[in-house]
Amino acid sequence: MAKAEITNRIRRLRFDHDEMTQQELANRVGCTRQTIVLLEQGRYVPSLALAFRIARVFGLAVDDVFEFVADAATDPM
Amino acid sequence: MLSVSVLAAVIGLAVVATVFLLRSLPSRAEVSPEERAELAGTPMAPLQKRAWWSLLIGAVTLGVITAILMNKGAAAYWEDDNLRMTVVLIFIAGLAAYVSVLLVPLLVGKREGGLDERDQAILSRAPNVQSGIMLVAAAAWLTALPKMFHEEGAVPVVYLYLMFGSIVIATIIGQALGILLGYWMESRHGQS
Repeated sequence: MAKAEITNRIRRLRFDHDEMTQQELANRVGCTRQTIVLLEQGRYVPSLALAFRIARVFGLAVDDVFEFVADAATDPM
Repeated sequence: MLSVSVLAAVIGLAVVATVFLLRSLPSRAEVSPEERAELAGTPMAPLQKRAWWSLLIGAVTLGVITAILMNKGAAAYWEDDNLRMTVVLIFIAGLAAYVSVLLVPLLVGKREGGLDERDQAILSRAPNVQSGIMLVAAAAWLTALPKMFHEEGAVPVVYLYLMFGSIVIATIIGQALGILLGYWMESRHGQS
């Protein structure tokens, strides 16, 4: 069964916000730079709390930063 | 014969578990060279740095004590008060270094938010490796001692102390290895 994925626009949003560095974002949301790198590469799915904190830094809703990409076999819609 | 069977069974189980773990990895997408380079250029997480120090402390403590005991003999540890005091002091120094380098910062970090959620997830999986290494260390002792003292039919009391000390050090090394393995697996295969 294919796995659903959560993608994000964090890298794009950082550049749109005065080219915010990964370290700066990490400091503001309370995580390590490694975590931000893995998030941007789509290798790490954050907790809801971290997702909300990241969205808040950019002044956006969680939906505007993260996108849930469901596969057809498991999509309840 | 029984003791060898026990060690073989423990090592066999460890190998089977490792094979299953490694076979599960290719199903995850590999990290591209560019992504790996970006991650390699990122500073180590504080927990990762402390795990390296902890591994070094455990390895040095174990190495020094083993070298002393191999040189002087385990019986000398029991008979020579100075030697015993030296070994005990090295052991305590190793433990104190571990407590100050990894254990206290971990407890403080958990309380004050010094560890992020990913660090905490890696830390919570470290006991899987730690318990495996402790089990192998215990099995090695329980295999070696009956073979060494089969003729006498009794194991000298001194070995109980050495066994305890070595298992404590194996715990430190195992925890550090578990943490480092967690970071390594995430850097190669992403979230596990």
